[in-house]
Amino acid sequence: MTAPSGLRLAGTVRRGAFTVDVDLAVGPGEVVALLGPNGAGKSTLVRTVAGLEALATGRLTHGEETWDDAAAQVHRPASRRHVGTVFQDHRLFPHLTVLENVAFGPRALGTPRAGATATAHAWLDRLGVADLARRRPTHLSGGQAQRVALARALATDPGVLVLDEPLAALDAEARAHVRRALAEHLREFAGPCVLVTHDLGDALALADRIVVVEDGRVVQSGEPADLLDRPLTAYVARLLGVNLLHGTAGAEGAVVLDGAAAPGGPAPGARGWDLPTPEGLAPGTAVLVAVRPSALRLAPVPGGDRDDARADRPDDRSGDGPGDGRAGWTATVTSVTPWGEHLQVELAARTGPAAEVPMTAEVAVSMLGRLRVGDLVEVRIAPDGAHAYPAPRD
Amino acid sequence: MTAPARPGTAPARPTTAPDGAARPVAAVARTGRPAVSRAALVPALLGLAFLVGPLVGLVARAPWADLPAILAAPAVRQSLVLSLWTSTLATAVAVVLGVPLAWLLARAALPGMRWLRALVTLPLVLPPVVGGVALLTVLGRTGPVGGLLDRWLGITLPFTPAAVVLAQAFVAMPFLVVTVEGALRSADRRFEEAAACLGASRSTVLLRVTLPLVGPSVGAGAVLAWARALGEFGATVTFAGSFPGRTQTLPLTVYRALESDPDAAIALSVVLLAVCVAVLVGLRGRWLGPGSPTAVAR
Repeated sequence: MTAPSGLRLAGTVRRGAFTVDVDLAVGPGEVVALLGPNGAGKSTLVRTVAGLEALATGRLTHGEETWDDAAAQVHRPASRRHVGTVFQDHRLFPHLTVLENVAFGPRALGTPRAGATATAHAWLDRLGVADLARRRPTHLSGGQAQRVALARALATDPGVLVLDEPLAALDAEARAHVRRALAEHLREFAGPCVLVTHDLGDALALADRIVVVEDGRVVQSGEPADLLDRPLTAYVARLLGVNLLHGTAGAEGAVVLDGAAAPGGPAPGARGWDLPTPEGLAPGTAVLVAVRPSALRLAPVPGGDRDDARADRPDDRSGDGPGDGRAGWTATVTSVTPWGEHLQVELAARTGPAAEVPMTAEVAVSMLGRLRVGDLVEVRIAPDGAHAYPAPRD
Repeated sequence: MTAPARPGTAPARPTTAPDGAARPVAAVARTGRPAVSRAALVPALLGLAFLVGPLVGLVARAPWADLPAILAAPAVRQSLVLSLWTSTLATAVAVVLGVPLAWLLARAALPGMRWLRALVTLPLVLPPVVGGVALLTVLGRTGPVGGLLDRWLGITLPFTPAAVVLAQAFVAMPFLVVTVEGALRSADRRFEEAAACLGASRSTVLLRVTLPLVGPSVGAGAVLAWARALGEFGATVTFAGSFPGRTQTLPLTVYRALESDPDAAIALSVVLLAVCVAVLVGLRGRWLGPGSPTAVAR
């Protein structure tokens, strides 16, 4: 095979009333995970790469070849693109044996039967399912079927690999097996690889780069470590189990949380914090603040049932921690769940920095008796419990 | 202490006797499965007897000893041969026209497809005699198509063996269409996509994926259609008449025989019954499963 080429998709795809608009580039040997909630448009994108959908605008190129050009009305059919595709529902042909399934691709491309069968055997071997060669797909478990599907896709020696939620339909044990197989073979694959998943763990384990897609748009793109450190949307933050607040950079590295300002306007430093912020951001820059659940300190408000008067004063200083001067706010407990050695407490606030943003706090199990659903609590952020970074420009 | 009564069961008897010892609880209650309501049992058994009884009686009453003689009679042999070749030809017509029609219904995204599908399956519920009248109206000598055939080609259709084939095809084709359409709709597109991604050209996909997947359904549909065609009466007698040797198929012979030779009628009925039982047994699972005529409403 000639030297592997990269993939570039810059354009839009229509799916019903919904438009997906991205500019995505994947280099040879790179594994990109498309991560996002259901209905975000991830499957639409990979189907477009495979040739099962067409671009409404823009171009899709693989190296020097143009596979799809909306303006020039060029659309190379899927059968001529050489994109190995693994679907969520494996789609092994039920009327053929496992071996015949894997040999289908090479034979369709013109390889004589003997050569195709040998290739099929080799791939089944490499995926550890050689003993299933004579079985019918209906007699395979989910994990076995997906490994056969992967072998079938790889047996055609594709230039690009596309996997559409390959692990979504598997039980926990099968997922582990197939994920291991994927990790090994994706690493070895020389061409670009796009993997769709809604599971962060899969993305972290398999991808060189993660692209987060929400509502048909790319909202974040970067290496896994980057994502973990700086989630840019509420969705990503939720995936990571981290709370996300909005704020503005004040003077000297201080950060003022939105909603924590006094009625007269922000007084620099008075209600801000010293948060680790990178390279001195210009005052006024919008920032995001990621707060770990374990960094939230809760103090039950004495006599706290629904007391509207108190809830409307988010900057109440009662219960200041020992000289930390950090802003706190009042919130209502909406659920309390034991979680290992901690309690997960969901909070809702109508005003203050976390207004209309559900937050999750992790507190010691000893608080179990003191926190009930419907209680008011004073919420504070512990020192070193949060870090700020520039918010994406819309 | 008394266990609470479950709906549909008789009130439970106390489980503890007055002296404190435990009483045996009804065996049905102990298994935990809801007991069959006694009220429903009677009509259910009655229904079963009604459906199965006459057939059992028929088989019991059949003149088994005389069967070979009856079947060898010239009139019977004529109608048997006629039935066999007309049903087979009608099935062939159903396959040749019905498979492409099923394809159209399964794949084309035309507006009003639901109505089209309903029209195609109409002969399934239409009184067969009505079908016969309709065919006569259109294909008869005074009808729009029949008139043309008569004037231009000198062909008369009503009351000929050809009419038998047409009448049978009319009632049997929907069975095949519905069966094949179900098969085409269910899994095909996904497998065709997978095959395309593996590099298969459109003809390869058709020959190596679509047709093999749909083949068993075409076979099942054809068998159903054949059985239906074999047993067709109302449309046949209306459109083709009942002329011995020409258009008197087996069911028509049975009807005629009831007056003159009841034993023969019973014997032939048993033969037809045996054919239907064989078809159902052979198609078990496909007949009552998804994509079958009993799952038409979708």
